[in-house]
Amino acid sequence: MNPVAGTYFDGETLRGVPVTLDFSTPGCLRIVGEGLELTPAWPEVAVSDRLADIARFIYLPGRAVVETLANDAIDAALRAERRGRFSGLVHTLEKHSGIAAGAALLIGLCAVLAFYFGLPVLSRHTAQRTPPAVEARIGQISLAAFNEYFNRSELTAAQRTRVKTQLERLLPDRDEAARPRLVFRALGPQAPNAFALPGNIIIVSDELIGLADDDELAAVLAHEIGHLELKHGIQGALRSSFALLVVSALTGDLSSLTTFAGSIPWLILNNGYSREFEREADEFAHALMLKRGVRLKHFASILKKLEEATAGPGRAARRSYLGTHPPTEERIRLFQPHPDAPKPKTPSPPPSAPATVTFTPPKPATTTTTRSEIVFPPSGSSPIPAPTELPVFLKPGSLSAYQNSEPPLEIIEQRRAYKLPHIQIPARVKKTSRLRFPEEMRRQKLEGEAVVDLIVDRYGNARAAYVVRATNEIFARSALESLENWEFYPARLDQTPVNARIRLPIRFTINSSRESRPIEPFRFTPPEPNTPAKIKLDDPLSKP
Amino acid sequence: MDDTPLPPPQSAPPDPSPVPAPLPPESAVESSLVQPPPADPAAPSSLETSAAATPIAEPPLLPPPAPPPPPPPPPVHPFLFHGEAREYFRIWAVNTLLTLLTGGIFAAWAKVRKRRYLRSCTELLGHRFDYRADPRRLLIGNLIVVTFFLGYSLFGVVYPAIRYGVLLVGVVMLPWIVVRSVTFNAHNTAYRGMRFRFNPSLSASTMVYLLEPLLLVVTLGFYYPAWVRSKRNYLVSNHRLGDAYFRFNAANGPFYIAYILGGLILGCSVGIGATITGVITATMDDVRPGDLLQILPVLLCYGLGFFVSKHFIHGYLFNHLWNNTRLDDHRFVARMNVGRWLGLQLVNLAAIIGTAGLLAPWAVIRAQRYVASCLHFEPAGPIESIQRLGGNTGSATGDTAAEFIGLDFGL
Repeated sequence: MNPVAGTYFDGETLRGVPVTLDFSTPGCLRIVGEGLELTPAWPEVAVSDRLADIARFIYLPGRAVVETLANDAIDAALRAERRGRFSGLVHTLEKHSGIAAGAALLIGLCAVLAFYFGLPVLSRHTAQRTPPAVEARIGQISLAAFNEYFNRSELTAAQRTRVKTQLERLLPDRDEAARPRLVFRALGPQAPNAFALPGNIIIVSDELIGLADDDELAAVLAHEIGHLELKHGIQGALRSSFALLVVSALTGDLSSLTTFAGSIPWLILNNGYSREFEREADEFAHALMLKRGVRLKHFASILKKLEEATAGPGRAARRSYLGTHPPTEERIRLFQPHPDAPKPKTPSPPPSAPATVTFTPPKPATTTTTRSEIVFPPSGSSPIPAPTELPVFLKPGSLSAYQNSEPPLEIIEQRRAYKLPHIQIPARVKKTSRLRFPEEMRRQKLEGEAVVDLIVDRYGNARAAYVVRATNEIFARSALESLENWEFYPARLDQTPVNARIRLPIRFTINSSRESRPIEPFRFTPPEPNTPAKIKLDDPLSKP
Repeated sequence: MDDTPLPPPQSAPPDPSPVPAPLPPESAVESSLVQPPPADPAAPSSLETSAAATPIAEPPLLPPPAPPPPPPPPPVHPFLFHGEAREYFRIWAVNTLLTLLTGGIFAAWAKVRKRRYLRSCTELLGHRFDYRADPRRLLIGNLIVVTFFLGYSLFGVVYPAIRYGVLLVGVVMLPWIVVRSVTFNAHNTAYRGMRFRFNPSLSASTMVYLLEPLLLVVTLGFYYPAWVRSKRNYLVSNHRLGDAYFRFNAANGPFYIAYILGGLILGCSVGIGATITGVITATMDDVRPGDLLQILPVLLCYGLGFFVSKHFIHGYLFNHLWNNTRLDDHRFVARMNVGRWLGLQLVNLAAIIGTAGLLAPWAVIRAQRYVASCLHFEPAGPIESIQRLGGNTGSATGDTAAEFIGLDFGL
């Protein structure tokens, strides 16, 4: 190959000698210039890596250097000498614009993925693996920081015991030490609240205890226990430092704005993480409340109370994206009591007959099935009896009597469409469909009843029904499902059909003489809170 | 940007950016050999006298000798920057991707490559600068820093006391870290085969980085511009190229003017932001304090104001600093226009933000090109007279300053 030009510097002064480089001799490099001839062997010589088209430097033994711009010739010579393949690799990648463009895209993709997926996953895993001693220490420190700002509690021992009882109710399978530690503080007026700190600490404010009743306290505690179990406190700490790390790594090149721009996305992202945590804790509380027999509606009610208590002027219409917590309406929706959703409560005494029962069936209209029989109580009915005996393998309190003291919200919404007369008028059943006796109850030989409050419209259809009382939620669900196909004689006011609201007791009995095979014992498992069947109704009638 | 081979004077944040090697003087524009510079006023006059001496044998009617031409101005050699945004973007993108793929291990190589590109595209008097750092040494330095940082963040979450301890250690060790990184970069930069050198005395380092901050505290911050000047002086005057010294004799005055003006700019922008916030708050009722929407104008104006004032100070001081820097007797000439510099930086900022960082390489190249175009070198004699330090004594101190740990605080 042709000799190329360069400049030789001996490293002792800044004087340069123009030289030509000759690669024709294998194994060594010939450098020829004015008053200068050198032939160093290739192994003695170091060459700077190829980088775009910048000047190339050949480092000769001693301090001498040859500077040249003939990159390609040097590359060829190096290839002939079988050197510099690895260092040339990066240059090969850098040469092509396509690769660079692809690299830029990939970088952007990695950044986005890491931010939105990698970060939460990483922090979740790391948080779950926090050693308990470390977590306890974190709790101590955060509690100390928290204590600086708030006053001692002024609750009586009885009030504190209230809260402790609810905690035990939620976590009966743990002993005192394993349960979260309750710390009471006075957080100031208009701040009823509860916090979960890492290290198994729940802080409860005096104001919350004043505001909430026992079940609502249980709901709030369930939510805070959710934060503790899912280690949200530690995750938050991890995420705040990782987020800072990642943001500053991403914006590292923006050296002028690092101090400023780094914190804004962190603020917004942190709010997002916090909302995600709250949602997870809400779901945890939902499951725990179901499991322990706390009515879900108490969570909704305490949320409403909290919002009213902390509402100042002008809180409306806050953009939820910039707020820390999800808006209360969203959260309440998760906890709205649905007539078909199982929501057991602690057993209450059997309800007495509703005073507004106005239904008088002409005669007991029953459909006999092979296994069950429906009997309507006579008018002026006696109190619905509680289930007579429970099978031995049924845990007491696991399926409790079902009751709705007021109609659920969506039922109220539906009923607004119907104009009801101001006096009670009975409506009578015309035709009933087959009432399905629930299978699990039949297996357990459990009879039950349900009282359904519904509106019978002018055409005799059942609308907007909900169960007032039932032996348990399974009977309630079954009653509502069956009601869909029933027909009624509409109530009449001066011969004109009108809408009417009635209450309808339904009893499920087992006709034991028809049992065809023995019932084998089985282990009882509480039913999963599956999506209850909704009553499919047409659009509400227009107001008459 | 950190990868500039031309040392921009340090402005508001006291960042310990290493001073990339200033320039060696040189004589002729043509590369090679020694030509005594023509900056000698004696030469033209000798021509003139020789012309005047001859007319005796000539016909007497001669035009009067022309007035001696004014001595040619000393040659001022510009710094030439040959970098291209396209090339740099390719380098930057591929190296960043490789860094991500290797979990950061390739970062050392990436940094060296980017620096090499920027330095080796800078040309003075026909020759380019060489950056010879060994990436492995940088890797060791990186690993040490990562260890400290992890310890700080992980343990600091649990034991906040550790954070204070690490901060304290960091503050005390910062001078040492700065010195080490500047030394590393100086030693690994070479011009025409001769390495630069940074070798401060311990007393000078202590004075500038440990004692003068106390003065800063005592004067409640009024000493700050003087401290910036003092740091700059320390960095420049301890650099050497071969046996030539860099010298710095800038006055304090312009520093104070620059910082006062910069502070005014920042104050005005914060004021504007606060006014916007006030207007928003006044027209919006039922708004709680601390809402992000309210604070956002203030934050934006503060950020923008900070950016503008920082670059204003940088541009304002650039000329002052370089005009007062010397290498032995050779001088530098700087002609930066502050307005143009600000405009350039603002366009860069908009480009970087608008493309989420993709145009960052373009911004770097643009800034480098402008800085190089503003800076010139005016040699007072042949620069070949500069010799390697320690060449005669054969001492090892000349070249064995290579640190085992390549600490590099190129923020």
